[in-house]
Amino acid sequence: MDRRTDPPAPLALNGVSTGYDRTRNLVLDGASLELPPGTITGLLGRNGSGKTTLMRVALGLMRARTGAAKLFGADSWDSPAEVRKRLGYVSQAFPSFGWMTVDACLAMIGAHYEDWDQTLIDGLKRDWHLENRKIAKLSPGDQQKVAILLAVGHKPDLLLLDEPAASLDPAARRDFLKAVVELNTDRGQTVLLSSHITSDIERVASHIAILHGGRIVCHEALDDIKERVGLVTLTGSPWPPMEKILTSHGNRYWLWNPDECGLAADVRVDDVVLEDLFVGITAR
Amino acid sequence: MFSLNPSSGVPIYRQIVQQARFAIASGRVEPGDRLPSVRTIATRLGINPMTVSKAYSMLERAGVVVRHPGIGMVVSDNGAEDPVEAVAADAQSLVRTAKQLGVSRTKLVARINKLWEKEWTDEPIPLRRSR
Repeated sequence: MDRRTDPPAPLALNGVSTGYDRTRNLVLDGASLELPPGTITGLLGRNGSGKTTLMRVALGLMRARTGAAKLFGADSWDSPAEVRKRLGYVSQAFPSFGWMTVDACLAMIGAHYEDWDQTLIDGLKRDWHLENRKIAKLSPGDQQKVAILLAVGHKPDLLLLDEPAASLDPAARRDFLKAVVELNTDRGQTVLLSSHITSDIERVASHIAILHGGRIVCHEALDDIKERVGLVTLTGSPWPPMEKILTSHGNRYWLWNPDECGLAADVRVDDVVLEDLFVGITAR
Repeated sequence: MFSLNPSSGVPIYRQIVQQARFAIASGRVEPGDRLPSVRTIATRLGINPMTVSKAYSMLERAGVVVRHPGIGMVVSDNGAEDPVEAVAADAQSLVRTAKQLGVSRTKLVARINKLWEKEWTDEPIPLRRSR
């Protein structure tokens, strides 16, 4: 591979296995995922599938027992400060700084970084009505917005967002997603975003990665996978081949490459939504 | 601008392509008009910018728009196609459903003719402007 034209991926997991206790129970069991630079990838998985664990390994907060986790080409477990500076992370739980005002908290964190973007922060702070407010008195949704400000002020190249919008109301979620798209459009930031809200992922993500059974079972451009999967409604026509069925409900079948199934020519094939796709893949 | 439904199952880039073609076929957007920039659409609607670029590239390949460096995507002189093309996909899906349900061609055409008469005029019905 030519290193000059091909810089290392922002995040590359290769056969990562890890777990929490001393037992053999593995949360991640050979997970591989390489994020193309500048893309927004939606990370989907059922509850307890290991999405947060995957984020923790990526951040270097947890060590891979086997396999390799690399950030911009460096081992994530002992990556140098220059690499860690390029990361931004929003977790599900807001770090407590309750006694501080939003402004004081941002100033305190911002002081640790050389190239903190105060203009970006001031703009978002204004748009989100967070100026001069005490963190403890904010709603959970507004606290989450502060967490996002804390994660983007140092202009990270890779943004890891672990269900960042779960506690936001629909309007606030839309604002937040727009902010993510704006950062991605203007700065080419690579984003890994986990969420259960599949319609959000359909909106902002260029790629999806589905974590199931400790592995990434599907990692593909969202548009490509939507082209490959079709919803077929059968009215007394032949049974579709089992291996093509992703999921079914009544006489409706979600199929891989329905055109190649040898079904009657007049069978209607409709487009499929991500939610059905997700349920179909993770039910197996 | 575009009105997109991420959960419809139709990939968003195809929705953009369809809506742009529809806007041009209906005369709402004319040759020489400029389409909004990728950044404008992506950030206003919270849509992945790659998706928007992909749609614009498809429109460019189809000859509907021309890319002018520094200006953006401009509707080409021959970008306006026969408006019947804009309803072709809907017509196809109607025909398919009718066939599946065993509705005869004569019956379907008769019903379409009846519906056609019911509309109060043969003049084009003004489109609601999206705003």
